[in-house]
Amino acid sequence: MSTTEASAQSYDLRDPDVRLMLEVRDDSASAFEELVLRYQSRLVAVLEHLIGHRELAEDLAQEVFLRVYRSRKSYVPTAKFSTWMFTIANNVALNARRDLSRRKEVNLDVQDSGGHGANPIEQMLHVSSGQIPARQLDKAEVRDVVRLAVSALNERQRMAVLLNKFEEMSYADIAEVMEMSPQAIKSLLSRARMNLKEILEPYLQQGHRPAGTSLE
Amino acid sequence: MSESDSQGNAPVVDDELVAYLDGELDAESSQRVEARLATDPEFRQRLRNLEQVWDSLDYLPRAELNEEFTHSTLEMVATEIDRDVTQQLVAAPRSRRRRWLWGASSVAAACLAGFLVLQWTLPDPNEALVQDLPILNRLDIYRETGSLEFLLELDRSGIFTEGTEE
Repeated sequence: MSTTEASAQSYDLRDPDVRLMLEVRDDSASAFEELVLRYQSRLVAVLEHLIGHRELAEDLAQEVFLRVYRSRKSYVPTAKFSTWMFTIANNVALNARRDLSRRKEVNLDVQDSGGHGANPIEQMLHVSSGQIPARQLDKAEVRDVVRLAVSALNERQRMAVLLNKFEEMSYADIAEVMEMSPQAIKSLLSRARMNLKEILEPYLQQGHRPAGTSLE
Repeated sequence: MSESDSQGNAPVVDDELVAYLDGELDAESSQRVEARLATDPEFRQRLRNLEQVWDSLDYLPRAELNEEFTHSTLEMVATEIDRDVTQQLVAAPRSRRRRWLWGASSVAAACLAGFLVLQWTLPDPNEALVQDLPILNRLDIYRETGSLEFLLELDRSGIFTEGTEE
């Protein structure tokens, strides 16, 4: 038995979603529907925070499902199903962002919204005026600040963080999705978490709201 | 953070701490981190802060999708399948045409090959006529002799070819 066949068989046994995908390969519509139901929210959640637009995230998620369906006949389980699907999602998101920046129709990148050309994280670290130190943190406001902090990460850091946090993926799986080495993912996630810490720590500990978040 | 960290080891320490939190360190590295956590309060604080920041990501909203999204996704895929089938049907006459052209080309090639083989193997009737041309030109004169034997004798002597070799 070849290594590929052996690993395919092992994923087949361990991952129920791989088994579903193998049924999709054999043209089972109900198996495909089951996969859509299992992954649609997870996929849109990651894409929404990656791209920054809910509607676009939904469109991209559908594109991902379409690609999954189109590639069913050539599907060979060499990884967990989620790893394989998020690899497709990563490529779809990268293409979408490239198209968006090429057309310059919509500027989704929060990094550009600061406007003065400075490092977005540095911009955020300027504490906004009128804040109340150590005030009670409002849940909606925390959500907005955290969202802003995540959107201030660069694209690769953001993807790694989302996969790590939302999908609870291991470094090895993230590395496979992002076509990097696990060691590079370790450094990427470390830098991402330090950036998040820089923005969020003053807010979480003293209530210093970073610039760019509005009070509701 | 200890003095050594502030002198350039901080990224390494951060990598280790983050990997420790993610459960991605091997046993030996984990023990090293834990030993330091047990003795270094600043290091412990750093870990707590990292944890707090990481936990705050739980505030990020997670998409909740309804049945409508599922249906529209499945419809989109179904439309794609229909389109594939239509394309196959449209492509069918074209493929038949391609098969016919291929067949016709094969027949033409076979015909050409046969013609060339025949050309090469069968004798050319014009060749005999060209050979007999000197006799044909003087046929009337030769008839007047009235003797085939006499003419053959003259031919053997080479008299007929003398004029044509000049």
